[in-house]
Amino acid sequence: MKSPSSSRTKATAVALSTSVAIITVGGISIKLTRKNTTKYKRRLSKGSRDNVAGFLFTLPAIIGFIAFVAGPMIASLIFSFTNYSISRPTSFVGIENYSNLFSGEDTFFYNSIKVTLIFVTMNVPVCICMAFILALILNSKKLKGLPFFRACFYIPTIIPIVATTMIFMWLMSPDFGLFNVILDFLHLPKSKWIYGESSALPSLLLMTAWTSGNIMVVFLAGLQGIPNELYEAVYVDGGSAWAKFRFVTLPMMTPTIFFNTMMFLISSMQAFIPAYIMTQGGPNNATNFVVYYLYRTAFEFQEIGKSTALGWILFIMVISVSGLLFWSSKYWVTYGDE
Amino acid sequence: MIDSFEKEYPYITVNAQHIPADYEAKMSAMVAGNEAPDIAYVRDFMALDFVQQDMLYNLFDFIDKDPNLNKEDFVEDFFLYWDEDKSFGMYTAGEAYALFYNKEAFKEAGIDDLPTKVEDALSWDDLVEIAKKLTIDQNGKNSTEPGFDKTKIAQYGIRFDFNQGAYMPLVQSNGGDYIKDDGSFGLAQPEALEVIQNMSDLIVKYGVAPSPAEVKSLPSTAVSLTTKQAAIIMIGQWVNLDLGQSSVDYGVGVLPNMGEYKTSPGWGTLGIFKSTEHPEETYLLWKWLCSPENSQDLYKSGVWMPLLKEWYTDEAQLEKWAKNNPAHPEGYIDAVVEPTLNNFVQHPSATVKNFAKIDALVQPALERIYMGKETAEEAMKAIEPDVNKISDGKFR
Repeated sequence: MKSPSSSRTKATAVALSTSVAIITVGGISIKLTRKNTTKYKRRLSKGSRDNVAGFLFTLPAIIGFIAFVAGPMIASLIFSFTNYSISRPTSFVGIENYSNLFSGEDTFFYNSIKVTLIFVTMNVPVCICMAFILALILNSKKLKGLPFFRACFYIPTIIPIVATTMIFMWLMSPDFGLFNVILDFLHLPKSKWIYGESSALPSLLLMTAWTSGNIMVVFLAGLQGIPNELYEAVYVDGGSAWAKFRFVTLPMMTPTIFFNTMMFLISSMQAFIPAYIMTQGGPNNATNFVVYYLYRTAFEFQEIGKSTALGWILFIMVISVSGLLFWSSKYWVTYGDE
Repeated sequence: MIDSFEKEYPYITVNAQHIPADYEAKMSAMVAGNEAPDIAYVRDFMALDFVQQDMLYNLFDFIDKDPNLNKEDFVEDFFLYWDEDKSFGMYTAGEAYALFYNKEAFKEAGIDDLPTKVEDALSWDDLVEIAKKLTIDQNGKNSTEPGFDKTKIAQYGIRFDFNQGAYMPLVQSNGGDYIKDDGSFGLAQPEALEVIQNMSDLIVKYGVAPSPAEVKSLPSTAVSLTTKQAAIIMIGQWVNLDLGQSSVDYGVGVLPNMGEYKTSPGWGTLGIFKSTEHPEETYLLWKWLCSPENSQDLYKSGVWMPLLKEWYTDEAQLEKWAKNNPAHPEGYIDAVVEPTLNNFVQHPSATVKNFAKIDALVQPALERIYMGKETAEEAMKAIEPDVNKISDGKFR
């Protein structure tokens, strides 16, 4: 009998996931390509041997990009205009997948957009602010045991997300979970956490906040890059600690804040694992994120064409939100040399 | 089991694959990648999808050609049809829903054993009264006594699953259906609403059954019975496997009767894919898998019931699996074997078109009902227009 695992199976899976995966790197990859082309031009003038060598060196990356990013993306765009399903013969249906979603004929689409947007608007400000405040505290030279605390806050990031979700499922268990035990001890009303319709999203937020140590580390690196002279200048001028923060730290940190916000915004819009492992999109669709709904459409309802359409809608959403953030950045992000 | 098959047919090599999690997604991906297995466990509603595109064999094509086997040798209700005389397979094994209970909990509460014969089945109100007496808080008070604390429950009277498995036999017993023969949404009609509201009352009104949030703190259904966190569980008879292996003294009883007694199976089938290059050999394997002679342990341990009728009707065959072992308590023949032959109805996932999409609407509605946010009527009427949009009647 046949061996069931095959490259074609994997290719389908990749086609589905990459339309989402590309988004993660979209922000930086643009910069990288620009750099490469300028170098390339310089080498061109040196002679064609360099040219060939350069091309050969970049070939693995180019092949990888075409095979695992560009190819599946184009394929998924084409699929999104078909009724491609696992068991049915495929034919082009024009924009039917999209119109079906936007017309509200699909009962879960607007719900999934709403859930995702609510999650993003809660998640991004809370986690970014928390990570920034933590970084400020852990940057203070007066605090004893700095390496210990820094490690403490970073460790949750290196724990596999699946393990984290399992731990939080225990912590949030309505009857025996530690969180409810604490609430009970403090004589506060207990919560249903991820199992309650209204408390599910805030509970997931709590978990992502716990795992945002990597954001904190980037902030920490940014803070340490601020030249000490600037603080000394404020000191000489008789400025307070608040003035140091307001006129040195904050402006100097805006590029880092911008970068972190962008990255975290994109990953929040693609939230999937907590819904998949902890809540299965419930209770009552309260955690039905777009990516989770995409997964359900593909594998539960077997409508791959429609799920790729969802992927592209999410892609456009992420691009628009990122574009908006980029546009706004010229009003609030200051670079050191300006 | 595979080993013995390969020994019997040395010219066939079976390449078995175990998929530990996310089975349906993996299965979909394999089929989409033109790498479907020769034979596999397939959820009934997925198989219906496959078979409409001619991806699975009609089981009768094989059985009709088989000189040693007749269609009539099987329990007729175990065949799954997509059209007249067209079956995409049988259930992986026989299964049936029943009540299982912890005898010690019953003794402590001074309650008689549950009835095992269909004609003695409890009415709904009787079941509610029993469940009330079996629901005990951490101070040892049952839910009928003053001072009972419903926020600190040590033992629930009854526990049931929230999918079609538990409510559908009762809905059918009450004369209702999931989707009616005319394609209308059966769960929004009075016979079904009554049952679903009754089940919700167990949770919301009486607090004698755990809600969807509360079951998250409980161990698996079988374990909660052995640890006396639930006195009665409403579940398929496969639970015999776990209960038989534990040291708990448990009993089996028939489901409550709402009119005409009904019980229902599980929802898995073994499908033979048309893409196979070895249909005859695959059929041999199917036959091997469903013959109790080759895998008596699976039947004796309680997890499966046979597909062949003889094993239900012949006393000597019954002895081999359903009697005198720890996984088949007294009364099992009356409470499970007899109803399987006489009061059997398939689940909607095996008969309703577009089941996956309809159930994606029904499940959240059930959650709202069982969490006490809406009554059965409010929730089901609210999704009825959406269900009507995608409802397409039944197969066959």
